[in-house]
Amino acid sequence: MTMTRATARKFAGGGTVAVVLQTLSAVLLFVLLILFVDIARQYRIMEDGVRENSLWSVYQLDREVRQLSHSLSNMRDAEQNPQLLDELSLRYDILFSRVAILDQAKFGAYFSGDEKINGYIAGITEGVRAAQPIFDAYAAGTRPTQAQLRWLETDLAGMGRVAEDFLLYTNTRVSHERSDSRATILNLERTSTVMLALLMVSVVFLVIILNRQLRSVRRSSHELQVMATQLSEAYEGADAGNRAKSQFMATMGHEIRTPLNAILGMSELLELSDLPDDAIQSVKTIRSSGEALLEIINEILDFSKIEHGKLELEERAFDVCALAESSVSIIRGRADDHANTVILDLPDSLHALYVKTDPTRLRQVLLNLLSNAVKFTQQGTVTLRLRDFYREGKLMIRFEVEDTGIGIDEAGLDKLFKPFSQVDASISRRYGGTGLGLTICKQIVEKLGGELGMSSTVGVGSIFWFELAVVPVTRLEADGLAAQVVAEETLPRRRILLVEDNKVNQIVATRFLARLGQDVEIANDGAEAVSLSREQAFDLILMDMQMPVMDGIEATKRIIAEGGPSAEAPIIAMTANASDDDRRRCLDAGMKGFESKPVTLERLRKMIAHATSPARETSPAPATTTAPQKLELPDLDLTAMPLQSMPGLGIEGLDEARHAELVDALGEDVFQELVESFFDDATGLLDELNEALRRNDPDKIDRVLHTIKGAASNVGLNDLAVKANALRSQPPAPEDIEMLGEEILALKFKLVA
Amino acid sequence: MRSIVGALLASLISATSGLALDTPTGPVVLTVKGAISNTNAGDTAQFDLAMLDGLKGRKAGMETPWTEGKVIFEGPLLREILAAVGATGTSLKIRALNDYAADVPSEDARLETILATKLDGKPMSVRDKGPLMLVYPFDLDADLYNEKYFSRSVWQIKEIEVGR
Repeated sequence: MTMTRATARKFAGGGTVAVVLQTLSAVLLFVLLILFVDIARQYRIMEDGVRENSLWSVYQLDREVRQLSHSLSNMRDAEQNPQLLDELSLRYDILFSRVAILDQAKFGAYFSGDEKINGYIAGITEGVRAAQPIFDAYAAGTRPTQAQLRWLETDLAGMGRVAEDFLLYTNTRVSHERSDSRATILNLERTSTVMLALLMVSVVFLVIILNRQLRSVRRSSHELQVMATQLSEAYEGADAGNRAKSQFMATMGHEIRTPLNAILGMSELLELSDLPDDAIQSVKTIRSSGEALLEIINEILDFSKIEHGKLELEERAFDVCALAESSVSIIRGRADDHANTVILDLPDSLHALYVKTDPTRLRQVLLNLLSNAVKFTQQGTVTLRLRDFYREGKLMIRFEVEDTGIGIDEAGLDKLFKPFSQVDASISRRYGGTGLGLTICKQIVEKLGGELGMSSTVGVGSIFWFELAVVPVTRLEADGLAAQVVAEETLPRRRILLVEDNKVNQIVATRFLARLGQDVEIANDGAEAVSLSREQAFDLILMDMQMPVMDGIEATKRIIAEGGPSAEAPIIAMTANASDDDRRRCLDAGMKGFESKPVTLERLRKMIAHATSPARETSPAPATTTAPQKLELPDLDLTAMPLQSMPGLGIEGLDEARHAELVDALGEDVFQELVESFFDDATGLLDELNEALRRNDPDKIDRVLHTIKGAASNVGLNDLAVKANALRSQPPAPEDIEMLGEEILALKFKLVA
Repeated sequence: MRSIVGALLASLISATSGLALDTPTGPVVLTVKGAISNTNAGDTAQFDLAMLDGLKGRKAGMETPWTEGKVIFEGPLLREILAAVGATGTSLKIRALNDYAADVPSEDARLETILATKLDGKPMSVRDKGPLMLVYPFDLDADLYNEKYFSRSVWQIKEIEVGR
């Protein structure tokens, strides 16, 4: 971390220098550009032909003056030769044109700055103009006189001196200018060289800085990567620890609940027995303490479920008012202990209103809030108030639990919904509790799509409220619901033959059927079933498919063929894997339907209602034929189901839904018994499997594996069921069987030991 | 390049060799000598202003370093004069009245180069760079505007010598 911060500081420092260097480079580049333009301009000036031409022109002028002088002296020697006079005139004209060129714009501009040059030009122009009348006259036909020629000679001599001085002066001046210009250029070049050098240095530094930054970026990205790896490792570690903790919590919860149930049951029994008063008091204390403990454990289990997102909700139609009433009646006993009055405030609009949401969780929340209110109130009033209203077109119900208890101050409010925290430490000493209750309530309400809040005044009391959107159920649905309840209650008592070789499956099915109010007779294999059905009349036969001695198909055929008292009874196959081929064979044998294992209470109820309803007799075909059954068959393809998707209750491989159902139907104790007997059976089955493997008996191997699979899924050990089933696809090696044995042992250790 | 010019000049000759060169009636302003096939005075060809103005020419406004502002030059094309005399050489020496001379390659005749006889519509006097001045088409090609062509721009021309 410090390293990273140092790198960051380095970055910042490097950034400033880079910005300075960049600015410097830009400025230098700009200056260089200006210098370059200046140099180019200077070169142009130096190269400018005007100056050179000026010198040339002045030289030409001087030359023409001399030529004219020469021509004049020639003529004077040759005495008025007309040809020479023409020559003289031509020379004058040429000189005239030379003067005109000097006067002319561009040279004139170049010279005009110099007074001396202006003087020279003026002198020569004057001399040439002075001679003009003589030559103009000659052009008109008048020959110049001797006097004029003499004057011309003097005039030319004067002009000659001026022209010479002019030439010398111009030459000097041009030379000076050239050297000045060269010096300027040299100077500019020197300046630009310095600038260029500075620019180069600046660029070099920039490159160095860039390089260093790149390197530190690379280094810090590497550091980040290392840090990310460490963090993810740490996270994984923490997560694994957390998971282990929750699993431990869940396991411990179960472990504690089982003996606790026994303690509570026993103390309840004790209370009923004839005991001295002080002993009764002690037993009552034991029971109330036990109940408090159970409550705490349940809260912890709920919380761990919520924390792991495993809180599952159901949606059921129920009577809200009835729920509120039952909650209040539960709490009333405890309220009396604190001399509290409990008031239930229900509006008429909610009377007999059926809504759809999770009643179990709703009751839990209500009970929690109510018991909190009762706990913190002495000789006061606790009110449960329900109000219905509409928000955004949805029916909402507001539940309010108001008490006149101790209240909570501002500081306490903050802690209120935090897990494991109580308003102040003394609370836990005085009132007990885990501090999880409100957290759980809030989570449940939020999961149900509502919100929970509260307001409180110290010494006056508190109001805890929550608002839930509910789906009102129409009269028709509610009627159906009622009818269903009636049907459930009035399921006719039938005689059912259960043909099943596995002990665990026997226990489960028997318990389920007993709970449904059915008479059950058990046959351990097909042969027993045949002989039983020969003697007795059954209303329904539930037939396992694979059994020792005689399998389900054979037994079915025989029962029907013998035409005994049970020959008319519908026979339903119970099989863990119903392939199309199996189904066909079942139908061919005369069965009326299938039920896939593990069989559930709800499915058993439907099956019995269906198979034994009077409707079947009037139209027997559709009632129990495959079509409706097929529809209802859960497509539980165990092999295709990924192991992770199996919901577990903190214990890997235990299907929570199945577990809940079994516990609901049979009780935790019986479930434990079931699991234990499964493992007892499993030991024997594994021995059989090893024996079969030794004798190389594939049929036997398959049958035993099938039995293990069926029994395992029956008690909710889906993981194990999947593994056993997987071994059936090909002849298993002894190592596979050994592994399966270890798997079973490990599960046994977790669940039973 | 040279051969192309030669071919060009040869074609010009073949087109004009049939024409006899007139004898000047006015004052002679230009003498062409050297490698020429048409002559009218010994082995030279002489022109007066009328003869020159009779040749195909060009009139164009332009700026030069020696004149003020934009001026209009007018006169026969150099290549017309060379054609008229049946010039066969590759270089020209153009000589002025003051004996200033410049070497001009014959290729320059392929440009719209003229021997100006008039400046702003008036005949050019010796006092004003007359009577003839070699004027490059500075108006058509800005690349010509430099010392190289300035030095070839001879004024007060009296003679052209065609070199072999």
